[in-house]
Amino acid sequence: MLARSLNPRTVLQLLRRIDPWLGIASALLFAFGIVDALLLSPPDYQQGESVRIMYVHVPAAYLASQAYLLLAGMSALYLIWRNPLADMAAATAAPIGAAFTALALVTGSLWGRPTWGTYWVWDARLTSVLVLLFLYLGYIALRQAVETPDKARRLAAWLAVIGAIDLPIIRFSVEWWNTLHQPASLLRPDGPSIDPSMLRPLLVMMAAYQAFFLFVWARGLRARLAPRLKHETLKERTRV
Amino acid sequence: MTRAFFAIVLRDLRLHATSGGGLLLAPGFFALVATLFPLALNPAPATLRLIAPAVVWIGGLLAVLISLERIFGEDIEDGSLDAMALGLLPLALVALAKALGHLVAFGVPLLVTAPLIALAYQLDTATTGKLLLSLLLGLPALTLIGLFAAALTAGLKRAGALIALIVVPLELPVLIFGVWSVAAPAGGGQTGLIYLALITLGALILLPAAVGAVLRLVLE
Amino acid sequence: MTEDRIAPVLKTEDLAVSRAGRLLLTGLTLTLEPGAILHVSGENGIGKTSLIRTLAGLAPPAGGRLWLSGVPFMEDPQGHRESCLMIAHENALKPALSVARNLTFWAQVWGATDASVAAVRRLFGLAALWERPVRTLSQGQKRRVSLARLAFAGDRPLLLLDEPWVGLDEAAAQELADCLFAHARAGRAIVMTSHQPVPMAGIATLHLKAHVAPAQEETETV
Repeated sequence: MLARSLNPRTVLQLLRRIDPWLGIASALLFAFGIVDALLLSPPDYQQGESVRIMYVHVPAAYLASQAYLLLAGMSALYLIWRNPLADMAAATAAPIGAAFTALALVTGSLWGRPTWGTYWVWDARLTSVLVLLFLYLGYIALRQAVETPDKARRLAAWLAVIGAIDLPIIRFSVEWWNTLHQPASLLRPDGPSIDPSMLRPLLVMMAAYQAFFLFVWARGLRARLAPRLKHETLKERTRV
Repeated sequence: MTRAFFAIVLRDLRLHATSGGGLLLAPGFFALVATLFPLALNPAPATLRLIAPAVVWIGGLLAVLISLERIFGEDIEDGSLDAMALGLLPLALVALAKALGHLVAFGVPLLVTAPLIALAYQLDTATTGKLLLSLLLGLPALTLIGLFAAALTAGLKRAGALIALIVVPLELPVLIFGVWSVAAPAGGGQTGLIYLALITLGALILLPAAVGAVLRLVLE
Repeated sequence: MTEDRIAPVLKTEDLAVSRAGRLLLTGLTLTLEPGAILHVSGENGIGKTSLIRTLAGLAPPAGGRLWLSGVPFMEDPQGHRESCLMIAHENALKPALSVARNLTFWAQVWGATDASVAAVRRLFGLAALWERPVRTLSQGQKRRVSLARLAFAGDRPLLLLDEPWVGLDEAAAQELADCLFAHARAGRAIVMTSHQPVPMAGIATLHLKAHVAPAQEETETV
């Protein structure tokens, strides 16, 4: 299977080659996105200028979830095929995902302040992001707490997989809880009801975050992979 | 096979009953938590009734959490888990047996204590009934999810805070549906109970196998 | 599929054993026919317990292959485990429960018959201790209770014992030796570890020695 036969060396080369492209793509997308979000797009008729935080917050939250799915997917691959690459991919994604989650929380909080007068509202979105942060922290903490590296990786992988199965249930329950009380939400329902002039900068920022995530993640993966390969080459060379 | 299964359930029951506080530990803790809130809030009767489902459920969650911490630790240390792994039951069923033993040893006392707390919080009979039903449906899920977290941290010493960090996000839906199936306005409570039942069913199907795999991993 | 000869009870080929990421043993190739008794000796920490646990199927081999009654371990790990009986270094006894309850538990979990529970009472002088809670027993007595579980072997062909002789007095040691010979005559294969000489005559010994190899320790940066 692909996962089993993936050659680490080819992967490393691939990562090296796409690095500049991802970097350029991120830079360009961010440049355009920030200009679009801050200058070109219109202020919201209700929230005024502060709606612009949405362009920072929403992509962050989206990438935070995506990173967790990546984490869980790689963990599942690792559990099934024991490919160390899959585990390295997961381990690299975790702190990055956690960082995006924290960013989403902070920007969500800042967004709430001018809109609602408080730094935190227990709405469905923010609460879900907060729970996602706990899931990340639990994963990272478990990996560090277990002494045997091999066990640490596989136990954490199990946690990621079960966590990912639970995540939609958590989201659903929080949404349901939210509908019981109907507090106003920060964001009007996503989708076609968003004005197209706001949709475009949002999508550009989404793409920018996506490229940036991949850029940082690819670099992180390289940083993990390269020393391992060097060690292997050394071992091979000393085997007479 | 069934003899082996119930042998484990019964042994765990006996052990829970005779060690570390026995069967009174969880309900005692449960009642303690329930005592803290009125003391801290000095609430009006209406407020008491309002917070009652939350207090009961949070207390129950914490009680289950605390009691699950050492569920595998001792069996690993004295070689029991190794020996059980050589038995007739796959570890998934061993896990289920332990969950059942734990549920009876701790869940039943909790269910018995809950009406007393409901009384202390001045809940009417109908609400108390809903509360008990929600606990009945939700405690198995709480136990199974807690068991999973306990298995993940089984080899670790003093893993209390880590278990909490792992388990609470996973248990959140159970808590939400549990509380709000009681407290929800209008028909929301019914749907809450259904979701609760669905989660317990899902946990029953999925988690024993997951716990079994994790235990095999821990034993290596 | 008919076989011309009965498969050996245990067969390993180039077996490697590791524990907590460290490689302990390599290149272990052995064959145990029914009735074979193997004494694995070596200093403490060399990997005897890890070897026993690998043979029991509790820890997957770090390398090489393993067969039990002709079936490769990888094909049916659960079946492999159900074909072994392991008396580990730890006694697996719950202090709060009586000897009777403890042993009945293991009989049921391992699928042994009620008759064997009645039989085990006569072993190792347990009749006198039968109703007593395990926590009131001495170390030697606890060891005897633990070893008595050998009576629950049923039709498991492989017996694995980790340091069974520790803490036994002369009478108990003699009884254990007789018990093991009886199991061997019944066609089982036995592997036992001991860092001291074993009071059984005419059995094979595998001596594990450390050799100077670079420590293959895994480091992980999370």
